[in-house]
Amino acid sequence: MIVKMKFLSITGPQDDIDRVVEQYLSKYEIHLENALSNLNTVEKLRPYAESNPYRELLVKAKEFCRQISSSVPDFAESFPKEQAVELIQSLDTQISAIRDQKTELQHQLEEANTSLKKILPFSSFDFDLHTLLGFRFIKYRFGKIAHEHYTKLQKYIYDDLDTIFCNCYADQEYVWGVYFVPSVGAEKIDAVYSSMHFERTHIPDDYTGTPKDACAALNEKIQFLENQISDCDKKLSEILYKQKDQLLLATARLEQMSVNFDVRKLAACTTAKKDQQVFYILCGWMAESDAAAFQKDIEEDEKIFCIIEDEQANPLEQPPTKLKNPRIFKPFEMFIRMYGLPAYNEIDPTVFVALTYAFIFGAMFGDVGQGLLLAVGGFLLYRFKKINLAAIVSCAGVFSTIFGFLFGSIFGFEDVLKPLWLRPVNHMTTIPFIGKLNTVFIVAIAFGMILIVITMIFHIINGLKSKDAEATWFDTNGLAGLIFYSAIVLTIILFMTGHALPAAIVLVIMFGIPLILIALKEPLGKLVEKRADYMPKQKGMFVVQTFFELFEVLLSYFSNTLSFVRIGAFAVSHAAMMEVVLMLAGAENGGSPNWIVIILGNLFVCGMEGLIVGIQVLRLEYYEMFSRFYHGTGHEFQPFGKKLAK
Amino acid sequence: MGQLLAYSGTATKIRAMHSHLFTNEEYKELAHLSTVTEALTYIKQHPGYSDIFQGREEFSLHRGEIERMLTNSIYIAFQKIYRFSSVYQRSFLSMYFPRYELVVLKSCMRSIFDKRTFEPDVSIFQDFFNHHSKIDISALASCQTMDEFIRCLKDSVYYPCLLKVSDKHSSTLWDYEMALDLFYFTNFWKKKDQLLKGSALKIISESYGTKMDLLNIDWIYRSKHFYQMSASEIYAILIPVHYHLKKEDIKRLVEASDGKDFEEALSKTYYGVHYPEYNIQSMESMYNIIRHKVNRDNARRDPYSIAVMISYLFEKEHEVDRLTTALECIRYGISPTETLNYIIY
Repeated sequence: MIVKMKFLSITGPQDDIDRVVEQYLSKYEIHLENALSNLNTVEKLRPYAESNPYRELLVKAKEFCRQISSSVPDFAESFPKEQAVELIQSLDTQISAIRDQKTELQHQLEEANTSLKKILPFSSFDFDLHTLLGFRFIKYRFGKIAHEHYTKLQKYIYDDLDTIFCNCYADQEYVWGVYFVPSVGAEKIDAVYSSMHFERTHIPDDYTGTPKDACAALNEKIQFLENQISDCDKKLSEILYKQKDQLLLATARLEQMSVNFDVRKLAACTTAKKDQQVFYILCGWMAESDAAAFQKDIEEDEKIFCIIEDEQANPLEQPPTKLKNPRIFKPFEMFIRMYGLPAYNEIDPTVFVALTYAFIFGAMFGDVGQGLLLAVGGFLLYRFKKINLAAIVSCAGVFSTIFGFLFGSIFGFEDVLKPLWLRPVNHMTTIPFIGKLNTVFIVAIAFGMILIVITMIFHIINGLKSKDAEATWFDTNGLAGLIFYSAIVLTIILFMTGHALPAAIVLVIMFGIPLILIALKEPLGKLVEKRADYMPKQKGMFVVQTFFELFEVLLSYFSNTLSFVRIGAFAVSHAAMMEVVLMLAGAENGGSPNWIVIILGNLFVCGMEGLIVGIQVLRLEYYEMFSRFYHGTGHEFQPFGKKLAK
Repeated sequence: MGQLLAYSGTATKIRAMHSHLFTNEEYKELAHLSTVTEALTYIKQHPGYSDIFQGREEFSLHRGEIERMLTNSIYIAFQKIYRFSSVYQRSFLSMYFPRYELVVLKSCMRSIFDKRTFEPDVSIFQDFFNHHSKIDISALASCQTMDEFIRCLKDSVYYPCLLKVSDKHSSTLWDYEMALDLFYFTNFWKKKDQLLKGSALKIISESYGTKMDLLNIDWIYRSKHFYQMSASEIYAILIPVHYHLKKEDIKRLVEASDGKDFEEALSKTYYGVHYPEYNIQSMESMYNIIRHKVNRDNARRDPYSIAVMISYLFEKEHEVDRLTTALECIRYGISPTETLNYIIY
């Protein structure tokens, strides 16, 4: 069912908005619309712009919560507002010293890391850096040189040059090293190196020992700094942990306050002249019953005014869709959401889907044992994990069990139970024109015909609701289509059961007229709506198009109906698959079977066939049924200030 | 036999295209014309260019436009060969293709350094270019600074080598172009070993190894003679590929103290020995002659091999160079005999 909605416009003095939101709107579910765009015909409205004072605090509070790695609870109505603000502020001052220390340490850590990065490539250079500084006749340069230039250097120049290059490290692009030159003539050799694109790195001279020692010292320093930082973190957590519960509640409260404050984004303000009072305006949708209760609640309140209108009052926006179904059908809303929520004035197909889905699944997967497994397993999963799909599986399992009794099948054993109805594999019916056929196939098609007729009726109801004449009367799924299809069904039944067919003239009326109506649905629909342009512009084109469309319509009736054969086919195939399992287990000759094979085989068939059947039924629902009557163009009802239910 | 079948289509196509190249007689006729308009009319009626100049008035063409159209004829020829090639042959062509990318990249960089706006015209080649190249020409053309330009090339193979140059301060256009060229040559040399094998590899190595050797010699001479660069600076810009040149040859050339010394070093190289007329004066024309000879000999020896492709592409590209030279000579009123000296070797 789709909940009936009322359109509310709430107004009051500007500074009263927080109280209203706090007191009423968090109690009632309301789907707020942007007041400015909704009231765009009203002049002199302006947006209610004010910066959120809680945002900064909230960011801090969330940071604290992350520090103690706890998630914020959803709700903290009771926690006083002022106390929350105070708590966060006081915590902030308490930890500011430690936090500053931590930033300082992080800064140092960064520096140490950069130094390490500089010196790391030279760590294999095993010589005391300080001694190098003391050289009087030899100069040294640390740096890197690209590979291609390094090879050129080695090949052409190196042998003739008074220099020694110590190769320390090489990555994909560069060779890192240090070269030594006599200080006399160093300039010339430096020039050679620089024309080979040698890039110098300056090694800070505050290290003693070899580069390796320097690296080790730096690593130690980094370790030390990291420890200190984690100490700081620990201290921070300790302080925060002491007030954990309070903090979490305060954060939740702040979050709520912040969200409530942001109601201004959806609100509009009147513009005041001189000393007139400024009013805020909020608009939104509320469920009919909620709206009545809300109205009663604010009767006493002098500062709040509310106008409640019907859904037609706001032609701009389609009302949001809020589904309300009995609990047992609720999980099936998942399938509806996957396709698209129904529009406000559409039929909610949840109950229909729930019944047909479970029923068809049962028929395709009729097995007492496996059905019970699915029912119980699905129920437990749903109970403890709240997985919607599990609930659907559970419902389907129940029907599976029922059909198991009807087909007399339990864990693949066909000879234990006596079928209450028939055995899908063996039961045959002879029908004229086609011959001998599995009974389940015929029943499946007949069932499909009934479903198609029902969906057509849904389509007509939807068309009536949305006052769409073309869809109601002339569409393939409208009244014309319904009559045509029912006529075919009737004729086939009469033929198959050996009755005489109706007279030719009746047949022509039953088939011909609806078909012509379907062909001319567009101009006819426009004619009913009294539109002037009902005649198609290009007549030749129209005739050709109509002809092929009609052909497609007929074909789709035929193929959609035949599509339901799969119900019977899977009923048969389930039995066949289990027969294979029993054969593998050696149970077909009445000998004692291999129980491990039976169990594994059952699990396998249960899993695989369950999956396939589940998908096939969903396909039937979406393709064969939904496409006939359902659009799914609605948008969801999102109550203000509440986290969306998943 | 396999080669014959694999190359029969391509070789026939190329032979047909070969017949549309300018012959020496035609160059002579061209050189004797007195105005650019006449020369253009002559080129326009030539089967190799009639398509490209179709519908364009000789009077209204600007010199930049003419050169662009001539260059476009190379792209079209390349495209034609590509369409006729098998997968294996295409691997050579796609190895060759970055050459044209470089042309576009370089003109973009030049306009950035000159603070001009650059309108790339590869319209005739666009589809093919987009199909084979990862670079977005229009985005590159709109770049105002080198940093932007390099960022635009983020996903291309050129990114690392350009980035290395831009990391150093005060890099000039010359540094960037040099880095791209060196990257292209090294990459080409490396790729040929991965993509090709057997006789094709041998032919390619000979053709392009010779080219790189000659280019290196050219560079050594120019940087010594015109730019007075130091030995180590010269080493830094050499293509790190040697085919016939040996390490000692290069060292001797680079470290030659004067022109005479250089001449002597040159005569000791493979090229000096095999082509006695190869000397400082004839260096530039000999570059073309040697390459022409190497390519032609290969193509004659193996008429059904990658050699015909290499040979044709070389001839076509040099034809455009020669036509450009001829047009310039005519524009400046240089006598036909002198013109012919520049374009016929």
